[in-house]
Amino acid sequence: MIVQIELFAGAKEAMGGTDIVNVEVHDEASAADVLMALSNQHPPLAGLASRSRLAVDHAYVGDDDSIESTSNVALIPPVSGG
Amino acid sequence: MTQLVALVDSVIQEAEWYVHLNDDDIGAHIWFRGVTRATTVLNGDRTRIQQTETLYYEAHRPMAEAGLQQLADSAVQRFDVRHVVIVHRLGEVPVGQCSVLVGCGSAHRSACIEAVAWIMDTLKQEIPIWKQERFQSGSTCWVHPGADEPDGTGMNDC
Repeated sequence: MIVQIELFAGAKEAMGGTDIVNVEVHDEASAADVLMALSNQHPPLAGLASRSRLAVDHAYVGDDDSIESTSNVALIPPVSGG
Repeated sequence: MTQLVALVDSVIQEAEWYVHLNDDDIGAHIWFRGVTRATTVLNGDRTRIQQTETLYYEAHRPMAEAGLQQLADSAVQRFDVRHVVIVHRLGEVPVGQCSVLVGCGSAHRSACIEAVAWIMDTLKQEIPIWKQERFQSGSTCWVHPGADEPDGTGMNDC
């Protein structure tokens, strides 16, 4: 399946300003699988993706949580508000 | 009880937020103002000092708003505070201007002081907001702190 992932901050910059990237993963993919696929399929994201979290529908998910093709997925690199 | 949060895109009008702690039954108002600093030491190396022109903040807006609301609600449950205000500015925040304003009100000061510190620590770890340093030299750098950085500047790649 194809999963669309929204990018922010340094991740968006690493992809030349692109807001959204697609990754192809198997149908039972977990968040960890999606993060791995991001690094493999979009090498400029590899460094940051390895220390980022995923959010689905505006909430953080754990590595083992499953991702659906219809999920609203965002890559959340280490945050720096304040 | 008040648990008020906001993301704003221009100068934080602080006086307008201060009134939200007003309550005849509370004796302590504690406010924290986070302000853009002019000098940045890159990763603890004092030979690498950069002069900041401005900070630029970006957020996953709906997630950050929900996260800040949750933070304000949790602060009221965890600490003996009656009112909480959290305001974060997005976009450009020039040197000397306020990027984040956190206020707590309670009967006595100790609960407020603890609550404000906890809110800021948690905000900096959990809320999907990012800052980009824009230096006077013209270079820019997104700040993504790593666990392995002793001073947590998050600018190993700059």
